[in-house]
Amino acid sequence: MLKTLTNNMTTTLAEGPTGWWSYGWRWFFQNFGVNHNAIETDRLYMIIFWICVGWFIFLMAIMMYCVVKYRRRPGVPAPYSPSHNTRLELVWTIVPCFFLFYIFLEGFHVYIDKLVAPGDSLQMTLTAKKWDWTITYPNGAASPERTLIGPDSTQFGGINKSPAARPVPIFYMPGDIPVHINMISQDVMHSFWVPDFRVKFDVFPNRYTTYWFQAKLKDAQASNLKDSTGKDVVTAQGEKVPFIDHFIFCAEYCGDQHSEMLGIIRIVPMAYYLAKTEEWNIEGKSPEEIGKLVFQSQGCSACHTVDGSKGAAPTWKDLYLSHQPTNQGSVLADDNYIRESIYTPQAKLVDGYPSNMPVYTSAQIDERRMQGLIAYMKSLSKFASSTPAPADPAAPAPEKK
Amino acid sequence: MTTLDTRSNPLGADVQGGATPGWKRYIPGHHWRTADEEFDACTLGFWLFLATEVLLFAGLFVGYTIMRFKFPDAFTNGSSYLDWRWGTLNTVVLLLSSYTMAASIRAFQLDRQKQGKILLSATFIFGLVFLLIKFTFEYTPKLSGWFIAFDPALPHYASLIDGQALGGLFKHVEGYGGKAPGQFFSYAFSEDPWEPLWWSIYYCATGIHALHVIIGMTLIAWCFRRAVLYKAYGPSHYTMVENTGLYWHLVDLIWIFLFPLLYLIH
Amino acid sequence: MTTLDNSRAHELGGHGHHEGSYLTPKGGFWTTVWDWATTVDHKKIGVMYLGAVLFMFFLGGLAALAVRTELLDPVRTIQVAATDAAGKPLLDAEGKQVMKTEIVGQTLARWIPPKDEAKLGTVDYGNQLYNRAFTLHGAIMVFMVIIPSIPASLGNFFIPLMLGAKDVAFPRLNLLSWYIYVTGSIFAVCSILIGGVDTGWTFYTPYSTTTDAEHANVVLMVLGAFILGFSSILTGLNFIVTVHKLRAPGMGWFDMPLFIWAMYSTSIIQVLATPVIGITLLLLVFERMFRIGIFDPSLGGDPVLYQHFFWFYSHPVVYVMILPAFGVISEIIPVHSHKKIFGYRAIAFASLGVALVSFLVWGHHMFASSGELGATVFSALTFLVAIPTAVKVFNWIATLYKGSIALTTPMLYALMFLFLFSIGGLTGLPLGALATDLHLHDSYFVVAHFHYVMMGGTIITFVAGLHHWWPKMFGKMYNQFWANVGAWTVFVGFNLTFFTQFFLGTQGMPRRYASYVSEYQTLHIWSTVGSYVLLLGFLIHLFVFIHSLVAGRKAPANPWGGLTLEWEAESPPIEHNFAHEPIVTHGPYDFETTVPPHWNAKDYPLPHLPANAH
Ligand code: HEA
Ligand code: HEA
Ligand code: HEC
Ligand code: CUA
Ligand SMILES: [Cu+2]
Repeated sequence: MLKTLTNNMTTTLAEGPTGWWSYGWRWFFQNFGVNHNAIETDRLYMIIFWICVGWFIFLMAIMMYCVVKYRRRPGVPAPYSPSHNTRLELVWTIVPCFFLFYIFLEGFHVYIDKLVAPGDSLQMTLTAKKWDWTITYPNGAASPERTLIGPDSTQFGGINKSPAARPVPIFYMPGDIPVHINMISQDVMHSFWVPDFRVKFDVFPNRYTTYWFQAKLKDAQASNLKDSTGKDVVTAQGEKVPFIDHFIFCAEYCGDQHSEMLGIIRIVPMAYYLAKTEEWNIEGKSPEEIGKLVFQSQGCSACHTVDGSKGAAPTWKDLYLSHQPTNQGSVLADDNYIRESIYTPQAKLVDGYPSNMPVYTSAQIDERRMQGLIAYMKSLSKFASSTPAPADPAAPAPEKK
Repeated sequence: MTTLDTRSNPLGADVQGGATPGWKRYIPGHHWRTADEEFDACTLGFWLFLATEVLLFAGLFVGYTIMRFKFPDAFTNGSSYLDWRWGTLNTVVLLLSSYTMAASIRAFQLDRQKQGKILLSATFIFGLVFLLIKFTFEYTPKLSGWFIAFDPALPHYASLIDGQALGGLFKHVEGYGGKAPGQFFSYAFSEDPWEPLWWSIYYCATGIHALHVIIGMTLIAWCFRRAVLYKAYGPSHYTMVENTGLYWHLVDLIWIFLFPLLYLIH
Repeated sequence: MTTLDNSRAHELGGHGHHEGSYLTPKGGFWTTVWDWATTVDHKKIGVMYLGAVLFMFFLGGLAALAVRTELLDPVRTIQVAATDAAGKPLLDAEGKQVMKTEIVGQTLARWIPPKDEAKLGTVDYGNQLYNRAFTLHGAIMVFMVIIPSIPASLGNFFIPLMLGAKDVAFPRLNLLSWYIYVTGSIFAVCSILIGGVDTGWTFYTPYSTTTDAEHANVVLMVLGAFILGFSSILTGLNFIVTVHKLRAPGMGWFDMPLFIWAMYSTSIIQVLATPVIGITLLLLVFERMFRIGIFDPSLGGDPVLYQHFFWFYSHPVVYVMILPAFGVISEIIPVHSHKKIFGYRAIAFASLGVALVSFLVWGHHMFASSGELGATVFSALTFLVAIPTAVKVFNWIATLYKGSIALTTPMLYALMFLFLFSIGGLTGLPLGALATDLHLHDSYFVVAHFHYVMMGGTIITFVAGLHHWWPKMFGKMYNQFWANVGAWTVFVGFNLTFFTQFFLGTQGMPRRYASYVSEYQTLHIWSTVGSYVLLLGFLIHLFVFIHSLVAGRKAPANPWGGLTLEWEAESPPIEHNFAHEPIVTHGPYDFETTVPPHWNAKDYPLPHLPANAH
């Protein structure tokens, strides 16, 4: 996907990198100028790079010259030369100091830009957990959209649609406006990195860290992009929406699926962003719709399926009021069981599945959302509408009735 | 000449009951020019080792400082369960032991073998007393709730006592046990949510210190043994008691820091 | 020229010339084994360390190859035709081929199938293996290879020789530290055998305190590192005292070879920094066993505190890794170019300076997590620490000027060091700069940086030093031609493996990723190919060394014409190093005025000194 982006971006970007230092940035960076801070970072990086190249070539040239010029000739002694020269030594101690001081200052300068968000920015919160991201928009909505990405070497630069690839969340963000994210983790440390923004910050379980960015959309003219499934992004009215995707990587080692803990930030016009977040707002929705949104936005869909197919976790199809074989014996999957399975998943473990269902707190899934989930599961179950299953918990699940 | 066994008895060939005391027969390692140089080197080496010990505890002290800064109330609250009287007693015991240790080195330097040995054993016994106080009167009640009847802390809990054993020699204070560190903390009347952390620091610091006391006592015992068997230390050779003494002083010093930090928070 | 004042040597009662080399067996096989196992001879201990470290390097290298092989191809699923037991394609009722889904790219998972059938072919299982592989690789390479590499093997062997001493200050302590090293390594190996560790070599909490909660592997590995720390402390302490107390008569501080200065500075860091990691790792063990909570946020602790503790040790420790290498380079370059080292004092003080400032920069590993004020100060200090290093590089290159440079294997490696370490060090600058680090942190750029300094700096120099001193240690020459071929192979392989990773890093490839999006694959393939070339290079060296031991020409006492005291001893040295206690009458690098020991003025013409020399 980066590749696709790059092609579009670099050809359509209004102002490309200019200046002596910009030569060669393409070796290091796939794209340029996603936002002001990224431009500045690339510029600083390239300046450091060329300073280093200068010093390196200078030193290596002297070295090679000496090795060739003063190679050993049998019987010829090394001529005398002084082994100490205060003036020279002072020079080569002080001159690098200037370079280093300059690099430090510039680094500090851009760092402050990256740290301090403008006051009028859009506020959001991010929660990270093994191995998923959730961003909550100012109106309390969370993005339910996901897409499959993952490695796929058959289609170079393409996007993988293979079944083993993980569905990762897509976060819609408005372009050309500062966005400010408050981040917290639910378990171990993670690190929120959007390489295109050239910033990452660690996400801790015990305190908030912040992340801010402002992504270009207007100048970038990205309307001819396709989304990861090769389709256009369109509004409800069927109009094409210009957008740009950026990868999110987790950059702090966090366990088995650290390398699958990805996400996408999709920069879209403000109007479309507003429409989307309104669509996902749970206000004014039926419990069932709320449940469906939660299913998608809280990452349940990463493991559970709703169509009966076997996933990493029990399917929700026909789950409600069925009998689940667990390590505590057969259990009737009623409202309380479902509630318990979400808040304290370790209490009863369904046979044949790993015990890796994450713990959700009432902060993530409040009462309304919980009710929604139950309603949604009800709607998926053939047992819900008819009479409840027999009360005997020891009885086998009623397969055919 | 360069394998272990040839150096395992630096005191020379005839060991037991030799007429000449061990310290007179001492030969420095073959790579030293003089015994003095060897002594200097050992002392320098030992000071470096002490520096590493200080740094080891420095890590704990930094942890302590940061946590106390973050949770001052938990620390004062937790500290109030420590009895400053036991702490003071232990401080006195260790100070005395430091004195006897120093005196014993002096005695060996003056070739007063008997005095030296008595002082060494006194140091050892003080160490033992320290540990006994620590384990019987501090750790055990905190972990189990069982106090010895004459524990000065006991009157505080008189109203909570809920059991006796051995004719009243031991008393069980309700809910006092369970002041284990971290997750094992189960004290019912805890006033501060972060108190488990305080106990973690308390047990780590005093536990690692107690381990050092034990190591120091082992060294002392070893010195004692050599003094008895070979008269190993005397005016011209006393490296090992000297360094054991240094170690013991360090252990003492660390306690001097730990004591106010843990017991005297108000 | 004489360094030996014979009259005084006799007075001191040297042991005479009939003593055998330290390698001469003491008797039958088991007697010899026992002799080695209980030896307090610093040379034998050095050789034992060398053996242990090379073995560990081999293990760590294998883990690295596993890592690289896994990264050759990222995890993906493909549809393949199902076959029956006989290998014939399965057809369904309509006669079409039955397709099944298979996960590929999980090379490790195919080599090491899971015990639990259910995990077969899951992404998680493959990832778990990968995470164990890179942790194993990092932990072995850092704690068991690079920290003891030069100090404990070459340092042990050559510090007393270079000082003109018979042994280190505390020979029995020295042996003890070898056994502690072996014990620590055994702990680590046990932890691997019972399932391995997946925390990364940094053991960051709270991940490290929660992973594999019901198993002891992490505890074992951490205890292993803790124990290895003691070994490192004892070695450092021993060296400091040795340098202080056992210099030969006539050797002042500024007459010491620069290798000794480097080792001295290294030892200071080892002694001062290791206890802090000791207590940290101990607390980590307690944390796992008792949940004491100091690093556990749910009990009020702080994971960032752990990072501070960890890097307070682990940053200085990167200079424990590199300073000895600097020392070796400061020996090799003058000897193989017959040139007095340029700016002796500057190099000596730079070593000390680096040692001191290195304690103040640990925060640069935490720019993405710590506050702005701290980060700024740490960034500034990071640049400060680069200056003494730069000074050294300038000095080495200035030493080459008007030298008489022979491209022997050690020299070739030393030049490669200048090349590779400069790249490694210079790429430390964008990491030290705050703005760029926020992008590069925990990416492959960091991986490339530290391999250039650790592998390209230290390991390369370790191999250089091994070739420099091999004749002295074992009394045999090796085949220079094949050694040079090996050196070039390593050089090419190394750059192929790790230069590609700089681009991966800037383009956004995070480290510790078991699989990755396909954009990165081309570069990963190159990198993996490079690592195989590296293996080839090291195997060439291995064979060169074995060949040398078995069939090498006998080495002269001073093959390269060195002036430091070890070249006065025989090759290999006798048990007490010197027949007579050496008395130092010339500096370690006075190539312009001194004919080296065991040479004569005809083979080694001295230059005509101008009147204003010195
Ligand atoms: C041998 C080990 C070694 C050495 C010597 C160094 C040397 C340096 N390192 Fe490195 N570093 C590591 C090992 C080492 N490092 C490791 C293992 C890690 C990662 C750990 C982990 O996370 O797992 C790391 C990570 C690391 C980071 C953290 C990156 C991150 O995770 O975000 C930083 C940031 O500042 C850094 C900086 C530097 C600097 C500025 C130097 C300087 O000392 C370099 C000085 C050298 C030069 C500058 C080059 C030579 C000089 C010249 C050619 C002359 C011309 C120079 C000038 C004009 C300046 N290193
Ligand atoms: C001394 C330190 C050292 C050395 C030498 C190496 C050597 C190598 N490293 Fe290592 N590496 C680390 C220290 C080191 N590494 C650390 C600290 C990490 C971080 C771990 C973490 O994230 O926690 C890391 C991580 C790391 C990664 C990143 C993993 C990830 O983040 O996902 C990769 C990937 O390519 C890698 C590759 C390699 C390769 C291909 C080599 C090759 O150079 C290896 C070549 C060696 C051999 C092939 C062995 C051959 C040896 C013999 C045949 C014996 C005989 C030898 C002689 C006679 C001389 N290493
Ligand atoms: C990382 C994978 C994962 C995620 C994400 C996940 N679950 Fe689960 N879930 C599991 C597994 C595995 C089980 C079976 C083991 C168990 O009972 O804990 C399970 C079991 C359940 C059950 C009991 C099902 C039964 O068959 O009895 C419910 C209800 C449930 N999850 C709800 C949720 C909800 C709601 C979410 C999202 C808000 C969610 N899960 C997210 C893995 C996951
Ligand atoms: Cu989350 Cu890595
Ligand atoms: Cu560092």
